[in-house]
Amino acid sequence: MISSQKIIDIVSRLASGSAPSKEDFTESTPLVGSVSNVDSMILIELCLELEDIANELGFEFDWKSEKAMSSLYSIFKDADSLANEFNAQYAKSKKP
Amino acid sequence: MIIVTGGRSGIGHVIVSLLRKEGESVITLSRRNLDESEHISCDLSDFKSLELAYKSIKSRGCKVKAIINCAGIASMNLVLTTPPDVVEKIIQTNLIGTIYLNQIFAPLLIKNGGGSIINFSTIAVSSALKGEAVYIASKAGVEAFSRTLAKELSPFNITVNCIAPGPIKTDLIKAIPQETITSIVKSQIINREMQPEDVFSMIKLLLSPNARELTGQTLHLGGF
Repeated sequence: MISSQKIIDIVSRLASGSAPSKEDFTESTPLVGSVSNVDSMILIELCLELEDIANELGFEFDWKSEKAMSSLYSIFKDADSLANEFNAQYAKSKKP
Repeated sequence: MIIVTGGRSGIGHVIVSLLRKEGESVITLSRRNLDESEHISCDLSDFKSLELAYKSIKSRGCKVKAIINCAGIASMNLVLTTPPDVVEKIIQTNLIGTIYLNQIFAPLLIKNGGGSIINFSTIAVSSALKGEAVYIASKAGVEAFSRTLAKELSPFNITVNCIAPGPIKTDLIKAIPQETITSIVKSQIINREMQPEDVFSMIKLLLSPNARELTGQTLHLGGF
């Protein structure tokens, strides 16, 4: 399982020195789209970190999505959405 | 480590041999079933198969510094006489396979802190070689894809380029008549039939630190 706060912490660390301060990231900060403070480089690095966390939890996190860049329906809409998607995939992987 | 697709035959085979001769650690990916630790058998046109290959390489914990995508198929035919299954096979292997390979394996280069992706095109894209329309369409797609991917990966210190050789004597061009080959060679700036070793020289250039600013390009071997 992962929390929205954990995702915010990762994004803040990845963005440190090159983007807005840590305080600028919240559960509802968009991770994609024109209003996002998160650039595509940070987004990819975030995905790779989530892949590693998923591997430690024993499942494969699939971040590829047709709606990945949609500001309305993307799993990257904000930290909450991404945490929900990650946790849903984790729960699914544990089902017999 | 360097990952080479299509490294068991043709130009790829020579490239792998020369890379190893220079002390590079190489893993080859191809359909062939070989009992070798430095080879992974996979279907390069299939996403799931490539994902399994990615996981296998990732689990070895090796640092990957380059991906050289030599795999490809061709089928000389007129557009109007090419059956749909051949069209689909060429596009699936050459274009879609390249897209899958690049998107699945690029994270290994990101984790390495940078590296090089080298895809293969052909002089036939520039010369609009009659009888190769579908093959050319697939390779033109590879060129455009590589140029765009170069932009997406440049923040990660990754270069993406295409090498576009003229005719090099391998099974890939065995169906092309000699007079056509001679004509293509004459259209090159350097009127010499290139060898796999010439391709390797260009690969060495692209892998060298001197080429870190060279990205998003299609390099025509012999000039066009």
